[in-house]
Amino acid sequence: MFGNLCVKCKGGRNLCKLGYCPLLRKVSDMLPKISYRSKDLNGQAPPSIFIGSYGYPKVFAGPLISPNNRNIGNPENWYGMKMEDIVLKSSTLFRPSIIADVHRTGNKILEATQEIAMSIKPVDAEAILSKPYIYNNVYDKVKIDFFMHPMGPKIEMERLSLTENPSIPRKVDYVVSDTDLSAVEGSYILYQNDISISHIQRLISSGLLGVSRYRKMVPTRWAITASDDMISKMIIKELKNNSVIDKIELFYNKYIGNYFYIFLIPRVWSFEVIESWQKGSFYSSVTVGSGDFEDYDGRKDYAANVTGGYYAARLAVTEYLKKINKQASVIIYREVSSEYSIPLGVWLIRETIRDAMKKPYRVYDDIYAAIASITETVKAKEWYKNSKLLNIIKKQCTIDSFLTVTN
Amino acid sequence: MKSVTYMLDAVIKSDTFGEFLEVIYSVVEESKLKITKTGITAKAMDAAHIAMVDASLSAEAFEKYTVEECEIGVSINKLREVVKLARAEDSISIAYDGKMSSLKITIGNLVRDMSLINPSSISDAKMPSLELIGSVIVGVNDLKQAIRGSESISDHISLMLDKTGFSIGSEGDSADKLNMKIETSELKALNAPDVIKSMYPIDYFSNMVKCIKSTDYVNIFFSSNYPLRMEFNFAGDKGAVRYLLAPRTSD
Repeated sequence: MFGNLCVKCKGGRNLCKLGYCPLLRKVSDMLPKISYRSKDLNGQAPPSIFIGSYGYPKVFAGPLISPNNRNIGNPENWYGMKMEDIVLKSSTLFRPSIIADVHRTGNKILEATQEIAMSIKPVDAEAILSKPYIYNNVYDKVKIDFFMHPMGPKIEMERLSLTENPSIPRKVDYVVSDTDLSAVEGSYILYQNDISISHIQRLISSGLLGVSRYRKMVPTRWAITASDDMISKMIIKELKNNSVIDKIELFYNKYIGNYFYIFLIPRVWSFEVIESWQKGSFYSSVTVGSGDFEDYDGRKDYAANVTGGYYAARLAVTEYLKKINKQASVIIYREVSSEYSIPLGVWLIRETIRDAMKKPYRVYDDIYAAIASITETVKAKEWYKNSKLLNIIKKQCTIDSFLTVTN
Repeated sequence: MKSVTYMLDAVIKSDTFGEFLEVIYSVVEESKLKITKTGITAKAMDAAHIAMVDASLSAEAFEKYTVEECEIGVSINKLREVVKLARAEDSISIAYDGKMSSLKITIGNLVRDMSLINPSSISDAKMPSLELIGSVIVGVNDLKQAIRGSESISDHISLMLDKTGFSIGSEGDSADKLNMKIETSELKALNAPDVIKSMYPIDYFSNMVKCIKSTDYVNIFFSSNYPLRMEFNFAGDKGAVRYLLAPRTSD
């Protein structure tokens, strides 16, 4: 709608100053109209929670509950599903909410929400709604968010109780009880103990991680970025002791109109994501390319062009480098086609790249040969022209190339 | 009490030692320190192999200096934070017993034991000897000003040297640019057998120049599309620094 501005904002930063995202509103008209004709919402939490950012620090908070008692699962399990199925599944997740101050989690509803956040398995729960939910107008509908997956409508609730015991992994219980552990350390311990990213993210979001006096609820979209950022930063620290890969490796994967080309270059750690939203894709009516970059020492500010996907992509790639005990400079090119008409959340980026890194890759000696190999396939032929990392690789000499006589 | 024999037992003014550490830290976070009878030296190259530093502090820079030859691995960042606890005129004492893998730093009544890094985990750096045809002695303040002005314009700066003088410039994507020309008459020394032009990454160059405190002039050697060597002494010529910085090419 506003071209470049929309690509940058991704429905989250109100850059157009309209106060709402016209694009998000447009697609939400394409989504199912759901009603629920009872005040008693009995169902299953996948487990998932949602903390809004609107009105911060007074925000909407509560669990997501599926009234059909279906096992919907977490985004990690959705990878590979069709877009329609994901939208259909996730849009049946009602959001019974209350308005709460992020600093005050000491009431029964929020405590029950926290218990759901701690659970590793779906939890049966019962919410008493203020009134039955009848589909009314175009605005109360399935919620589309760029960071989180789609969700069903928000309904105010009066009470929330769990009708079964949540199943809480011992490590989760241990980290949540340790109120001297920072959120960074806590997240990393959980990650190393195979707790999934979405689980860590909902613990952060519900205000259960960190040193006690800093604990507070964190809006879901910030918590998603925070968990990807904190954990990948810890991995990067470890990677820097590894040797550099031998040759250029090119990985590829596609999923629901998202095409990822991942170039690993034999050089010390650095990272760049370049995106191009093709005509007809969600945020762009024209071809736009934008990117974010960090050199060896990392970045100090938020990756404002690519936003949350930058950190999700970084986590997926660092996991691979950690596994093979190497470091590399990484360039990811993401091309988004019109097939991706509804944003599904940054989990899609994380999981698609994770899967890419399991597939066979091609090897090159020269980065430009690797880039040339995809020119036929990609729509934006000049996607790499503004790459900061390529520019440095191409133009910056190293001291080694002058090492002839040594003392 | 049992007397302890130290591999290194030294006392030095904190600002002198601090400047030595800042110089190394402008290139690397960790480094080996080679301790000999004549002084302490550090040679290190950054992870991306773009910059090198060779810094030394002679035995005369110390108020007390008894050593046996050894090599230790140090987190320069950690050590400089410790040294910052002292006031500029304070003397600090540095001791290493060769057994424990830690360095004992005493600042007045404060004693800080700092863990060391296994030196074999830090790679060796070798300074290439290069024939660099141009050289200039330039004021540190001029350099700092030109760099500060260029940082918002581009990620590299270009240096140019000919018989008429020395200039530093940067050019951005749009019409933004900066140029500082220092005429030969204003320079302490200039040697330009030819017109020499070269570009260097600004972040590295800036780090190198920012840490210069106790000297007003530096010696810069460079050739077109060749590394730059910057040399200066500090702490009344008791400390010496040589930096090497790889160039950026135009295409």
